[in-house]
Amino acid sequence: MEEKIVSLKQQGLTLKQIAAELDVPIGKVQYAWRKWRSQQAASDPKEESTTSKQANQKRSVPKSPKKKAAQPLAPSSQQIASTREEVSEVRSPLLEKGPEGYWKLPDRYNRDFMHAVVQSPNAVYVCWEVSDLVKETLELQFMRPWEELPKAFRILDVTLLDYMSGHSNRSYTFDLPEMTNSWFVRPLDPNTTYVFEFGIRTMEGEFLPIVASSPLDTPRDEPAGVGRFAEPVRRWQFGEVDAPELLDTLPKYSAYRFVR
Amino acid sequence: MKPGYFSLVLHAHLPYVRHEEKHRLEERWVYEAISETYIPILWQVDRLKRPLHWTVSISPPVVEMLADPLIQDRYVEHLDEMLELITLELSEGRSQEEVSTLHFYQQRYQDLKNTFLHWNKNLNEAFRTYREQGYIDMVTCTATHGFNPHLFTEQAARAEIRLGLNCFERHYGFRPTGIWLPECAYTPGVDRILYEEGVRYTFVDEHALLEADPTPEKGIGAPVYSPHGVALFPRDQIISGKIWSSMIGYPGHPDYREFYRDLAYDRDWDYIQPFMHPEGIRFDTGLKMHRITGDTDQKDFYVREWAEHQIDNHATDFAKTLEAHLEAHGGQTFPPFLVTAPFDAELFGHWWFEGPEFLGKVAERLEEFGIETITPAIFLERHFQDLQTVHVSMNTWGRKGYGEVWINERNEWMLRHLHVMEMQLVKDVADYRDSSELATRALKQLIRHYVLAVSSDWAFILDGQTTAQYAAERFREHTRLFAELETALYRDEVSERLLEEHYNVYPFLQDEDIEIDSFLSPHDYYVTVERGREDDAILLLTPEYTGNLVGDLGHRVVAEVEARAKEGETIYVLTPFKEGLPEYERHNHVHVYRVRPTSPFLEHVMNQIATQNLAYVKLVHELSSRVNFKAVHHFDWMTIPAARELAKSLSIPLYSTMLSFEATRNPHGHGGLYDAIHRIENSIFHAAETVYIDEQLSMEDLKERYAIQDNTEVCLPLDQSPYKEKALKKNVK
Repeated sequence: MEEKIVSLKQQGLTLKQIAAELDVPIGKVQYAWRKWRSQQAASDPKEESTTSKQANQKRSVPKSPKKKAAQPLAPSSQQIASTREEVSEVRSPLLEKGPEGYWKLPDRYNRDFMHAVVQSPNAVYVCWEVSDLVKETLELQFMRPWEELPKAFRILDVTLLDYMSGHSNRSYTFDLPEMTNSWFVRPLDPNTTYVFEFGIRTMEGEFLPIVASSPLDTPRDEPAGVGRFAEPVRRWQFGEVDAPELLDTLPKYSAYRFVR
Repeated sequence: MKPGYFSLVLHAHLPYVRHEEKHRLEERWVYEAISETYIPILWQVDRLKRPLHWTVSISPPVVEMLADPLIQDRYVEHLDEMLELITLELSEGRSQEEVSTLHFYQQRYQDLKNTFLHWNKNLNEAFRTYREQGYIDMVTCTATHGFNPHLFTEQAARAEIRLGLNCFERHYGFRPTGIWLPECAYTPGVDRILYEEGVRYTFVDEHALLEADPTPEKGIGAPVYSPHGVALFPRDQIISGKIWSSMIGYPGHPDYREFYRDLAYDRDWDYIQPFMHPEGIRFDTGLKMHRITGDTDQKDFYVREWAEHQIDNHATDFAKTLEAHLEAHGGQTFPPFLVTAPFDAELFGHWWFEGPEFLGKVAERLEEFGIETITPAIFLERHFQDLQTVHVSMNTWGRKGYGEVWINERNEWMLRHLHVMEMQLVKDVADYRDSSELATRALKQLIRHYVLAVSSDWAFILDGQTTAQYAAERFREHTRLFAELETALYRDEVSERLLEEHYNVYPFLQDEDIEIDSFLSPHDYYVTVERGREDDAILLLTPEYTGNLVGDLGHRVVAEVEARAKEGETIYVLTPFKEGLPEYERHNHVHVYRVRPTSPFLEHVMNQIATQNLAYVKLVHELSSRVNFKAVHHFDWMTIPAARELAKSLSIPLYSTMLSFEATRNPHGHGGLYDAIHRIENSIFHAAETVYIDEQLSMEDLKERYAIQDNTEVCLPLDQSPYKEKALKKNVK
């Protein structure tokens, strides 16, 4: 039961929702979750080794894996052995074990991305991840632990503008609770191009974006007449431009897009 | 003939619910669809034996399950059990009305069995035959019904489309030019992929056209072209509503069979138990003995003759309604008015038991009324020149018309994992595509796991909270299998046996259907294949470089890079982007990346520098999986945070060159920025292997202001490498 509770919590359900889902008293859910959290806190050093494991994994050459040493090790050599094991711990980012040793969905991914998808003409769902590399760089830059850097979210209306130019028609920034990695952004306006950013507020109160979504159009919800798309569509239809001047919500992704 | 056309489209889809173990409740979804929808529709096609111009869309999971011997044999067993139950019922002395309905069912289940066996238990053969005889047209759907507006990458959308077409072609012997987009979900850009994959038409809900830009001249009376030239046929809600709406539609008539009242719940457990799940779960038998009766819990028995009478009435009413609708728009020309009516096939038969017969009767009535039926394919052949091109924004045929069903608080937790799988597939295909046959097969199996996870059914079920646990478990299972196989690929532990084990869990699609290159990006191909490997390299971070030389620092950097290059070192220079200079340059073994900050136009200096450092670490994170770095060398305080972090995460030595310090530039400085810079500068002394300072700086002065250690030295002459041999050696792999 405890494992189930932890697993559901990690899927993002609230304690109340879990209690309803499993049909158990909320107190039991709270207890199980607190217990697991305190166990986690007690085994924190282990957590750190996981982080360095993830960092190591990037550089390891996947095609020549080192097999784990199978024989039991003397206590004195345990430290060395575990280091060696870490090197061979090349694994899928989706492979994560829960406290009981069973696979579970990862709570987070050690990478940087933000993706926004349309829920309705007035609402967009945004989810994001921030890598350890980026978090630690910011810690070194601002000389404060990541947890203490205030998190914020910015909505930019970039309709008919180039986001990269730094201009926007309007923007709205709001603070986010710590540990947030997704948000239903609403209310928004239909037929508007938005960019969403997750970032921190610096000492000066300035918003510093860390990850940003691609520009996204909210759908229209009423007849357009002859709207802002009519002319770009015509130009593309009659071959007057080499590339369509229209947003493409399914862009090609490259794993090595920065490498030249 | 009346002016105008009518086009009926039926989309058959179920999630892939084939399980090796027996008695899975979800497998009954397939039996129900076969008994109530697929075979009854085939009966109508067979009865009428003429071109009906129905377009039947059949999704790859349904195609694959219909072709699966395990499901085929179990379905025959299921029919036998049903016949056994009916016989038992008939021996129980039921009322006259019940007996009459039981006789109807007895005949029907016998007919189902005969038809099923006639087609060698594979209904794909039946659909294929009728299509080849010209009675119906057929299209398919994307591989697993993934909701394309919520995919992250073009590659995933392309794979879903291409794999779906490949699978269909393997079973049906041709590649359709039309496709059913799951949930009629359209998003700008999906039309480009469809067009590139040879698809020329698809279906959308009517508000897609009503809200198009510019507003189409013909409204929903004609399809339009999307910007990339795919014809979008709109669902006519007035006509469709007559059929599907439970409020105004036909299926709610009191004489039709009641869906929610099943014999299983009207019998004692001891009696019905042999026909139920071995673990004691009661489920619908499919024998529904009552009619809708009215808005009451007291349901009367089903009277087959009454239902048949209503089918006739409703078919005639539908033809009349359609006739009036077409006449009202009779003036439309170029192209003539078209009513497109796309439906979930399972609506007919499963939800509305009498639905397939209704469709057959409608086909006859339309002939009598002189209403011309047409398929989208024929419509396009005739009228392709008459369609307007417009921009269509994201929309679906789901609740409220957009994405609410597929992304909400009940199912959003799945999305990030799907996106990570997409990104991993792109990377894995780039990294492993030519490495070995086993690796190629592992990549195909990873794609199989991914497409099974991305099925829109899981989000849909979680939204409806009907069999939520099953949907969530299926999603987790596919994700776990993906994670385990990908790990095996990375550890070189893929074997024949492992691949077989993974395939056998859900034997969906053949390997030949899956093209790994649908996930390849041309740029990644260049990086992994054409770019080639290099020697271990030095990573150099500097605020100034050629084209952007402000003072001594820049000249020192350029001179050092030239000196090291002469010695044969490979060097990656990372420096801020400068307008007018190329973002990337290469001179033999010297790569110069002029890096744009992650966000331009920040007001405060420290924040601008932070965005530059973030851009450096993100770039190096990618570079480091292609290039082996042996040392980081940074110049000036601005690059310290990135340099420290990279040295730590790559576990390589850090070298620092500081030609000046805030405290020496600005001896009386104070305040927030001064302190912040001082702290960053101070942090380099314990982090770096060696800190090189300008010979003109006084070590004593510095010691007063910084925590200088014995790793601080004056800059070496240019012909002497600043990188200590000993330190570099420990990184040689």
